[in-house]
Amino acid sequence: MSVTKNYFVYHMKRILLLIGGGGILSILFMMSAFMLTRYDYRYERIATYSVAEPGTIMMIVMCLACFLPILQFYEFKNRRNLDTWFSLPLSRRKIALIHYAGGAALITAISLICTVTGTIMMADQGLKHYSVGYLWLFFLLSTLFALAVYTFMTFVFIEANNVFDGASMEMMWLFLPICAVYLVILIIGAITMDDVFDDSFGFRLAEMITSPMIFSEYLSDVSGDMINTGYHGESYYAPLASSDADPSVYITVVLIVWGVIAAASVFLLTRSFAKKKTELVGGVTDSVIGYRFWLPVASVLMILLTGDNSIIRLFMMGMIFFAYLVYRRGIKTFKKADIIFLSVATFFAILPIDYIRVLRGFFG
Amino acid sequence: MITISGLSHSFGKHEVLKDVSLQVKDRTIVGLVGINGAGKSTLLRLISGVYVPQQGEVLYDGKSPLDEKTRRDIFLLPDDPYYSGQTSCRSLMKLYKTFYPAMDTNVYKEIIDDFRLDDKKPLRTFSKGMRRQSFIALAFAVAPKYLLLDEAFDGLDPLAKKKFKDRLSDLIRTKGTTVIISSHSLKELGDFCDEYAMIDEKHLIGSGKVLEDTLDICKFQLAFKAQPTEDMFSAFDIKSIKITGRFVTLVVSGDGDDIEKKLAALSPAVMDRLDVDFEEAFIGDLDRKVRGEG
Repeated sequence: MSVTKNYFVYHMKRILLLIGGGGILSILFMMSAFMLTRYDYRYERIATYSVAEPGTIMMIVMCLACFLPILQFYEFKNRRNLDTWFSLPLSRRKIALIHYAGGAALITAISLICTVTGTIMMADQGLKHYSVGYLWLFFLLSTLFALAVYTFMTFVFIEANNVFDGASMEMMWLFLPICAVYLVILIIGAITMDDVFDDSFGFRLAEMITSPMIFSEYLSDVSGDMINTGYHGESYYAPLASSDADPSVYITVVLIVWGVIAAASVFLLTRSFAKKKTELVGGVTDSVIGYRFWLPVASVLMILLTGDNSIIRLFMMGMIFFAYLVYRRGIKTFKKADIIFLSVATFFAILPIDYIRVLRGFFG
Repeated sequence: MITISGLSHSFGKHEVLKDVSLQVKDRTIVGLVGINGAGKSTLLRLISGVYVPQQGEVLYDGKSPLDEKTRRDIFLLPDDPYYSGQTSCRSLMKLYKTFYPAMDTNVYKEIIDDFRLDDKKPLRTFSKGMRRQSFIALAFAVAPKYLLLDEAFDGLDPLAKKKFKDRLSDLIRTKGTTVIISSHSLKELGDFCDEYAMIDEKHLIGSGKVLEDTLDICKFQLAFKAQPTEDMFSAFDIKSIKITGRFVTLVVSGDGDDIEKKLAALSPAVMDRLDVDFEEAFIGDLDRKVRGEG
């Protein structure tokens, strides 16, 4: 066997152990979710169910999607470890792909274990409230989405030079893009004088594409409705989006977009892993997709999204300053650009002006 | 043969190595010496393919270590090798067997037994020396064509050091391995390297078959009828000087025969040329640099 196959098999054996441990935990979660599910029969249909099983699966796989990049790649964020890893007769690209594949296998296996557990639990309850086919459709969709998010997060984590920065950058990419969408919508709304927040198909789509959490919730809610059929075989339908768009449109578009993101991320993560200078590992992260990009963006978002409340803004500028301290590992290493940007941002933050309203006034 | 040519490397603005060139012949042990921070580990990382050279190149019989195929013949034992919290000698052997399929696991087990290491206990519970022994066992079990050892003696007790040196000699004899071994403990290298290379302040300041050649230094012991002073030797490029009563021990840089003639002109009562105590000379050189005289 070649070295590549040897190490792939070796790594997958380690993953198998994790699947064993993680699988047991997932089964317990799923069983608890089913046992806690309560049905309330009203108007000849199920009106409420307290715990949605798809939601449990989604929560588990999404947590894995964010946590597994760290688990699979934290060993490569220590420069001393790299003396060993990078002198071994296996290319960096292959090491990255094998570890990436390990995480992907773990997500798929845990998702499968959850779905099989769900199917067994439904069968145990006589299948009267459930449509098992939809559960398996949900398995396919949620796993694909989780894999796409995992792939992107792996790229983000690899771009960092240390574990803390990697985890921070993952958090930034989880929460900040949706804030940017809100801001864009606010600005468009201010210009067009329309309230595009709730009823717009485009807004809902942008929200779901930029926030894995929002899409996860949407996907599990829609699937929950399909899976939990009513007493008479009817689905309890809670309108999840106020627009009339078919949920399958949202789901298809989001999955296609994330599929493209994932494909690009596979290329980027192997490239980043192979090209990263070993001597920079463990030091400050200066990636263009990390602090360097998100701290200025977060500052602008915060100033524009907090109305005219200077006190909140000052508090948040304090947090941004702290984030810069973390980024630069101390105040002495601040660059001129950082100081100029922080000064300008603080100036605009102090002014008790609602900039969006000003914009609205300007266009109105 | 390992050919290092024009190698330069910097960490940001800090230049660590500048224009380092060296040739290492097959089946030789080359001692890489220098003080802490001289750039020994950086050079080994560049030689092993861990770092990508910013300038210059490293070639193993014409092939780059950045190619994974070349690295099949290379084994780097770093100063602080990787192991996880659960790694035991046994799991370490399994991991390395995946990368070096020709590794002889019997040799590994034999050395582990010889060092009296428990192969099931996690490495994190071992002392530094024991951990080093477990990795040394790996190096011998892999028996690579090129063995790169960074501070290999660090933490080893005298018996373990002797066993290590004996096995290393066997490895070169039986497998034809070429070894580059770095150390700041110069005494450790003094008695078994075929050649030496010394790094100081970014540069390779000398290389050769014997320590004296490496540094171009020689050592004399002199006795004078009158009390000698340091000023008497101001014309020499002194690496270290020790005056005890009327006796002077002197390590001087330059051509040995020329120096001997000049020293003879000082009319010493007795003059002997001694073998260079490399560590003493090295430290003397450093002391002078620290005092701003070098």
